[in-house]
Amino acid sequence: MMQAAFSHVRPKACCFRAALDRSATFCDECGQPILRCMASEECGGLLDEDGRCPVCVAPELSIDAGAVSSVKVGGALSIPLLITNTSAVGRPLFIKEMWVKAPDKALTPVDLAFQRLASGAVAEVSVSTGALPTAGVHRIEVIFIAATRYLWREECYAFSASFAVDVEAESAGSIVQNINVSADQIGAGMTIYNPTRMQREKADAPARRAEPIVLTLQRADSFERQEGYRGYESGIAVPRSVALAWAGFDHGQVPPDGPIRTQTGVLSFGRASNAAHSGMNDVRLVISGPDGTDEDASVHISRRHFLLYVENDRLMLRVESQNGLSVNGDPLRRGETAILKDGDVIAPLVRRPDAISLQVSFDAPADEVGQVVLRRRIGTGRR
Amino acid sequence: MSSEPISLSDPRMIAEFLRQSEFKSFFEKRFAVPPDYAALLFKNGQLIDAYKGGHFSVGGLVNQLKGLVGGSTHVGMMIADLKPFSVSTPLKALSKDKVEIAGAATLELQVDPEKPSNILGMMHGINRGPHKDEMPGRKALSKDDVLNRIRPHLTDRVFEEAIGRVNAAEIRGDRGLQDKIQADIMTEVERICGDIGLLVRAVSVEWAVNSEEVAEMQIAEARREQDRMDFRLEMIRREVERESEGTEIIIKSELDTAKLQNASEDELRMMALNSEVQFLDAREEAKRRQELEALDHEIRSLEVERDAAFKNQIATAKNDVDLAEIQKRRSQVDADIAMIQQKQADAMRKSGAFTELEITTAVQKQQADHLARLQQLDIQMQNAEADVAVKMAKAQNDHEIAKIMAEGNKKTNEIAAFRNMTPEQIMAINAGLSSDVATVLAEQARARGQSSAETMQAMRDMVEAATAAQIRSEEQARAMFKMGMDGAVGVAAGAGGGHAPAPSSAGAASEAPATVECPKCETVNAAKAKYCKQCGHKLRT
Repeated sequence: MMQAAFSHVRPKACCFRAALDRSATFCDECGQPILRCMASEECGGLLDEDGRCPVCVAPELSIDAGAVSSVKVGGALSIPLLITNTSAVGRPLFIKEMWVKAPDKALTPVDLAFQRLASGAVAEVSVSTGALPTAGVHRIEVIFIAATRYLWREECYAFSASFAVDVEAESAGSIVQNINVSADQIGAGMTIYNPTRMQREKADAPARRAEPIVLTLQRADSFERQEGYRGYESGIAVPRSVALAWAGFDHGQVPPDGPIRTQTGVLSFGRASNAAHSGMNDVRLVISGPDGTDEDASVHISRRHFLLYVENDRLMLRVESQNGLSVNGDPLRRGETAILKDGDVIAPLVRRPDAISLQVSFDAPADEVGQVVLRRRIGTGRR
Repeated sequence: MSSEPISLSDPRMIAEFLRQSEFKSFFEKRFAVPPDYAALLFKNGQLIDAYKGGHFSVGGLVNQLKGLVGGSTHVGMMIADLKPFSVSTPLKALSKDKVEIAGAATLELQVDPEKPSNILGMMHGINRGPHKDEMPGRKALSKDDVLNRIRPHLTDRVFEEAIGRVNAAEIRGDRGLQDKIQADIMTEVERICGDIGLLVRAVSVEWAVNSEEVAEMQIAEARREQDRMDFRLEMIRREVERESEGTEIIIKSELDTAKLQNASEDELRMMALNSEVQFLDAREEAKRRQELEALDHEIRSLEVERDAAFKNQIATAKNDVDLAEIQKRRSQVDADIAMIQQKQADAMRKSGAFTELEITTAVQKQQADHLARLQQLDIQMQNAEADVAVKMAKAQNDHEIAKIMAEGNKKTNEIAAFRNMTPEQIMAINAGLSSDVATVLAEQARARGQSSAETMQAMRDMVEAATAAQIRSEEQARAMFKMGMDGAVGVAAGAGGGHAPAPSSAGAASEAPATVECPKCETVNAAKAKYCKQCGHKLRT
């Protein structure tokens, strides 16, 4: 039972209209899944094609007015930058880290004295290029991690921007500029070695920016993966639009196959009845066999046992049960979260892990997981 | 191989051509041009390039052979000193007040390091023609050459013009004038030889002493001499004064000394004792004065205290005296009355006209009169009290009457108001409902009833209902009316009373279905939906 994975595209105007109906999970006009921001209660935003809510995560980077953009060889430039949170609905943005990269140099972290940036707030940051040893025009790259938070969840995104600085050669006089004038040019019998050309010394001050320059921000997706901010170490990513397929469950205990359709993007698993039966869960988790539900055995499963959601391009699990659970045998307590990988086995009952377990398997044709299969196994521990 | 530095042959020179003979030798020669010199290279009379400093290799047999093969080529080089230099020129001009002004102008000049090749313009060209005498080409340019070239342009155009604006006495230390002269010279030199590579960096003028200044100096000198003499005079005067005062003091002190010297031992002791006695006296006196002052203070405070106590006593005593006097006068009056009565009785008795009985009667009568008067007073008081009671009662009555009249007026007004009301409204108002509610109920009743009897019946029902439901405001009444109407219309329509109009509440079935059910998940979608909003199933092809 293979469900075709939905490739998430940029939401269209019809999708925003359809999203006004809070129960809708698909656009009734174009049939695309409606992927709401985790904080859609506050922002009402839909995720972009790159999995970012443009309402919550809207940073703007600019070079402050008065910044010097040229320097002599061997000098260092300190560039004043302004980071603005342009979120229109009052969502705060968290600038977690920032780096600056000069040509032929490693990433240099920038000390940030702040993290939280309220809506509309502007923070000033100064980045230093370090000594620039060679003349010419160099591009300086600035990378930063912006995060949005809602309840216990956090989505991180890396952005990069670059600007050019002009590194001037030392003026004539101190550094010899070699010009070889051949004998033919000036007549036989005379050769001129390293003469210094008459040059007008530059007396004008270094160039300064008259007004702030807004830099174009580029999502640094490969940086996100390399540095472990999004996706898995193996390089694959689970997008928010990933299709979930259910196997081994009884009829009516699971939502239809396909992307997570709840408004918050979180699926809750537990013993209590599921949404189809007006219950509190999305997936009913009980120990059952051909002869029906084993109520006695299932009573150890909490009414709400754990939550499953996609965060930072990873499939995440958060324990809600007082009794905890284990993933691949590692026990987790209430409130703890775990990143689920291909082949992971979730055992809701720590003491009798064989009684019921869920196996996670990824179907990743390329570096993006198209479908996650969750298979329930009822084992020998069943009474 | 070491380099031979090239320099100008004379420090008075600015620029100079190097003789080609210097370059010619069997072996290769190396020359270095220092960085404060510009080197101009010429080939066959053409300027090849200009360098600031440089290092040249010249000559040698190989290069000479090359020259032979390549044909004869003339190579020349000129060096120019790029350092600023100063030249000085005398100047003479007339001031505004027609005084001859003389001075020396110092000009700081420099060969423009940006375009030293233009220095050629100062050298009357570099080509030496066949007729040397006619076109005297110069091999070198000196500083004096430069000054001679620009001087004629400065005398009248700059110096005369600038100095003619000011008075001779004001020239010295006038930096504004110096600045003007500098600016003018810069403009002039720029005009004359700016394009041939000469820069004016600064100009200053040193002024010679002019006749006006000489006169002023003489005056100032004379004044100073006068001051000096005045001062000396004053000093002498003071000296004389001091001497006369000093003589007096000296004389006095000399006298005192003589007195002391002449005094005997006893006299001296006497003087010492005297001064001691005086000293002791002074101490005693001071002590006594202090004691006296303390005593005086005590006396004064006692005086104040006593005075206050006495005044208090007087006031108390006066009060007591007054009271005693009143008492006394009263007893006097009592005694007088008794005496008068006694006198009267005695008189009556004396007269003998009256019997004892009559006298007794008279006295009794007097007493009775007295009593009667007292009673009269009592009665008067009672009357007054009764009066007050009557007045209060009257006021009470008036109030009651006014209240009754107001009530009556209200009733009358109501009746007058009822005159404009329908019987239905009057009924509702009488039932204790507000006039707003009554108006609404009357509207409803009229809307419902066909005849006036039906209207009244409907009204009666509604008034009962409104009273039971405790309808107080117009809104409540209208809400009740709305419910009743919908119900009534619905019932009427159900009973075949005609086609019912659309109900006022929105959202009812129309002919075309407004929704469609998803065949996959059974979610109810809007009819226009192309996909199911729950499962994304395609609803329309």
